[in-house]
Amino acid sequence: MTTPEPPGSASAAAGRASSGAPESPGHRTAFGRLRKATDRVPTKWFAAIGTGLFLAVTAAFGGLAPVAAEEEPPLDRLVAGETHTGEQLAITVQRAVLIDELPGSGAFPDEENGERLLVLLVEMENLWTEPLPASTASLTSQVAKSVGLSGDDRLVVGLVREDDQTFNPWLQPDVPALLAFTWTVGPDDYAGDQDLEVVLSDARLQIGSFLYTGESWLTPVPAAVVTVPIEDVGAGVEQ
Amino acid sequence: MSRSLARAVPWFVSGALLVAAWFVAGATPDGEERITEPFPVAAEIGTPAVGRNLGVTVTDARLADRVTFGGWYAEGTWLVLDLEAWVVHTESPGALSAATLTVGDRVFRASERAQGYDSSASLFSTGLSLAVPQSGSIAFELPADIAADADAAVVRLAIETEFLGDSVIELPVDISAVERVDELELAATEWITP
Repeated sequence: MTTPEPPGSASAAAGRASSGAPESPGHRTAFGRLRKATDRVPTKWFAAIGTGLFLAVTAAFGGLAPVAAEEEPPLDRLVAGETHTGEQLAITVQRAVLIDELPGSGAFPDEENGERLLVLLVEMENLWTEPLPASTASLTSQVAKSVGLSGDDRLVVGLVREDDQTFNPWLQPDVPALLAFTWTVGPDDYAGDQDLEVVLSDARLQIGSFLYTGESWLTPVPAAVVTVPIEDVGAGVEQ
Repeated sequence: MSRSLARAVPWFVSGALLVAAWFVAGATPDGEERITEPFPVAAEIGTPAVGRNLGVTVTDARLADRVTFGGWYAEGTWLVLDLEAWVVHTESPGALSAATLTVGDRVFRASERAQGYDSSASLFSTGLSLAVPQSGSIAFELPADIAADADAAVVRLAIETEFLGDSVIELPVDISAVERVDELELAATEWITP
């Protein structure tokens, strides 16, 4: 071995030989000299210098004055039949119906516990260039989540086309489709004489780059609130 | 002296290899983007087109304002292809999992709607066989003004759900020129008796 023995192991060996003795021969080696040199650096001033630098930089960017909170744009207020147009979807909430059961809706109420169905009829048009799945499956539920109930964050249970009950249908570009969003709700959650507030959210297109490819719509943000009266149709032979 | 030289050699070699790799990457066309590029196989109506694992003969293409299958029907604007399809090498995976119609920059996916009524209403996502071709139809639900779209339209068919790294059957379609009918019954998926 031509390289000098690492000082750490030397002092450790010395420490083992004479345990408890702080002054070991290792401190007189290169490590000891380095230690002496660093002792001359005024480390106790580091905190003060750091704080001073931080304050100077803060002052340069406008000091510690409170910054005005970013104003969130107010939500569009719409009523049933009015269309909310985002970048991805055009959404028109048409009707809200309370009904005992609805075969083909994809939702099955627990009738013994008084559960019923809240059905929203929503026309959706895909304004993007590629087909979008209107699905309740968790990985692809972005379109489903663009229609929500105000103050009720339950995800829709059944999502079907109104005309032929196609389950979790695909939305083809520029082809509007009337969809039935169905939630199972408790007996006292909603009543027939109240107004329902439906929150419509807009997603943002994420274009993959670096370790990720493809395009997907992410981070839906509430953009509009639709007020729609709930119709209670009872057992609902004809909704 | 010779010791430190011997120690430096791996560094020089590594550096030289990195520079060489940089030149190789630069000489490769389009870099990494072409790793997943599909292999197009041009098709035309009435002629078999065979890719790596998918063989297709499109026999007819029509537009319809209403399509039916048994008790199911749907109004709208539909492009319906009649075709025969089979696999060449393996049946797993061997389903016709991808069927799209590209018009300009818009991409339409074969409709799953009639299959909710009866799975034999479309060859889309149907398992294909090595031994015997199957005949059937694939329908695309389109916007009403699609025939006025001057952009080129191409039907693309493949085994994998994404058009990545495998052959893709590509059939150009002139939507403004295909026969238009009021109503069309979708062809049920059937085995072809040789």
